[in-house]
Amino acid sequence: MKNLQEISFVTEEREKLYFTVKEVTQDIKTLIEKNFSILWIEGEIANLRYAQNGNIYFNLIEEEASLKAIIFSSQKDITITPYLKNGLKVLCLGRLNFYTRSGECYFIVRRVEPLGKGLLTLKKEELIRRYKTLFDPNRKKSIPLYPKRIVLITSLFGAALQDFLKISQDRWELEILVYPVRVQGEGAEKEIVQAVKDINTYFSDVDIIVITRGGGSFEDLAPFYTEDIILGIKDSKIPIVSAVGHEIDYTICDLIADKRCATPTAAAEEIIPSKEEILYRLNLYQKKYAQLLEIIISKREKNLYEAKIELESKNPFKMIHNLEKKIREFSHKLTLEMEKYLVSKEKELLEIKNLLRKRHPQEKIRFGEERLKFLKNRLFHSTKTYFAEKEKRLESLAQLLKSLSPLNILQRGYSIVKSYPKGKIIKSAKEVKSGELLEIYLSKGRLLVEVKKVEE
Amino acid sequence: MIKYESLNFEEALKRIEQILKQLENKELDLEEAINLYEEGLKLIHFCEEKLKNARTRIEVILKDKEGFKLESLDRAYEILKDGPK
Repeated sequence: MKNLQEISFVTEEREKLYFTVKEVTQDIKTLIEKNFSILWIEGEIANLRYAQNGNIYFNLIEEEASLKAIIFSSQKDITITPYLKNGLKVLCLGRLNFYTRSGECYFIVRRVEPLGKGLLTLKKEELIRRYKTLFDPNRKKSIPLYPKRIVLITSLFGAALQDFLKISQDRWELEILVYPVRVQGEGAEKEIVQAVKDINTYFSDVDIIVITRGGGSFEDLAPFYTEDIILGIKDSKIPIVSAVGHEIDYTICDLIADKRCATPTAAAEEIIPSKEEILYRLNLYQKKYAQLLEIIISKREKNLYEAKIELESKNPFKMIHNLEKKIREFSHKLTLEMEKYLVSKEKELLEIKNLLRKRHPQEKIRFGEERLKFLKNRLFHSTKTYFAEKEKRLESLAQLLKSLSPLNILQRGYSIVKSYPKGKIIKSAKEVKSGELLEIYLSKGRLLVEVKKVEE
Repeated sequence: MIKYESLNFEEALKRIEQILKQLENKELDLEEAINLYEEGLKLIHFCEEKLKNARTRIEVILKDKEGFKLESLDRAYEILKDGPK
C-alpha cells in the first residue's frame, strides 16, 4: 500500500514516460522471434479447425498452458494433415511468430509428428473410419476351396515368394502365376493395384489372387496402408488373399482383402489344399462307407429276423393251436369254477335242508302225538289213582259212618224220639206237651205214641 | 451314373461327402445303399488317382508393351535381375 502510494507519487511528480502500442508490440515481436528460432514443441491438439483458404488452425495445449498454432496451406505436410484430430499428442517443428496487428503469438508449424501411435496407425484408423462399409465381413468373397490357378502378387526376389513356393510344392494340382511387383518404396501400391487390375482383366479364370510380402518396418509396409490399396482391391472380381507383414498387426491391405493370412507360409497352407490331407480324408471316407453299409445291412438283417419272428407268430396253425390251448384252459377253469360253485351250493342246500328238517311239522305232530299220548297216559293213571284213592277213602268213610250210625246205638237199646209229623228230634222234655204225638225209632221198627204226662 | 471324364475333383469330392451323408441314413434302401457305396468307392478311387499325379506348375507373368508373356521362374529371374522388382 505504501509502495503503491509511492509510485503514484512518483508518476505524478515526474513527467510521464510511455510507449506506443506499436512500439511495444514491435519490441515483443523482436524479443520472441529472436529468442525462439526454429523449435520443436510437444503438445496436444485442441480446437482444430480448417480454414477456407486451406490453412489449419489449432491450439497446442498442455494442462493449463496453451499456444495458438497454424499450418499454412502452402506448407502442409500432406501425409499427416488428414490425420490430425483433437486430443492427438504431437511433436511440431516450426517457429514462433508474433503478430503485431492482433497482438497474438502464433506457432507456425512446418512438420507434425504424431506421438505414441505413429503415423501408420493414424492413417489406418482414418482409412478405416472413412471406408468403414468396405470392411464389412458380408462384403467378403469366399475363397474357393480347391483352386486350380492362383496368382501371387509379390516381389520376385523376396523371401515371401520362396516361403510360399516351398509349401505349395506339389501340394496340389495347381498352376501358380507370379505377378512381380515392388512391395515397398514409393509407388509400390500403384504397381500392386495395377497388378490386381491386370489379373482381373486378362487372367479372369484365376481362382485366387494372393498379395504377399514378408515383415518389415512400418516404412517398408507403408504401401499397404494406402487409400490406393483400398480402392484398387475393393472391386476385384477374383477373391483376394492378403498375407502382408508380420503376424501381429493387420495392414489396410489385410483388412480390405477377402481373407487375411498371417504370413506367406500360412497363406500357402490355408489356401492350397493338401493332397496328403485329402488322401487321408478319402481313406477315412472309404472306411466310413464300409462301416455305414455294414450298419445298414445289419439293420436290414435285424428287420428280416424280426419279420420272420413276426410271421411265425402269425402262423394260422400256431394261432389255432394257441386258441385251442386257450379254450382248453378256459374250459378247465370253467369246470373247476363250476364244481367249486356246485360244492358251495350243495353245502348251502344241505344246511337249508337241515334247517328245514328241524322245522318240519310232521316232527312237531309226532312230538305232539307223543306228548298227547304221554298226557293221556298220565290222565288215565291219574284218574285211576284218584278214583282208587276216593273209593278207598269212601270205604273208610263208610266204615266210619257205619260205626257212627245211630242204628248201631239203637241196637244197643237206645231210641230216637221225633216230633210227629214234623220229625224234629226231641232232646228235652220241654219240647213236648201232653197230648202231642211222638215217633219213636227203635233198633227194629217204630212206635207212634201219645204223651200222657210231662215231667221235667 | 457319373461320367468321369467330365468330372472335376471338387465335384467328385462333394459327391463323395454327399454319399457319406446319404449312407448315414440308416433307413436307406439296401439296394440303393449298395449302389451308393459302389459309386462312392469309384469316386474315391478317381480322386486318389488325380491326387497322386498332382503337380504344381509355376510361371511368371511378364508385362511389356505387347502384352503379357508367361515365363519360367528361372527365366524371369534372368530377365528381371537387372531391374529387381
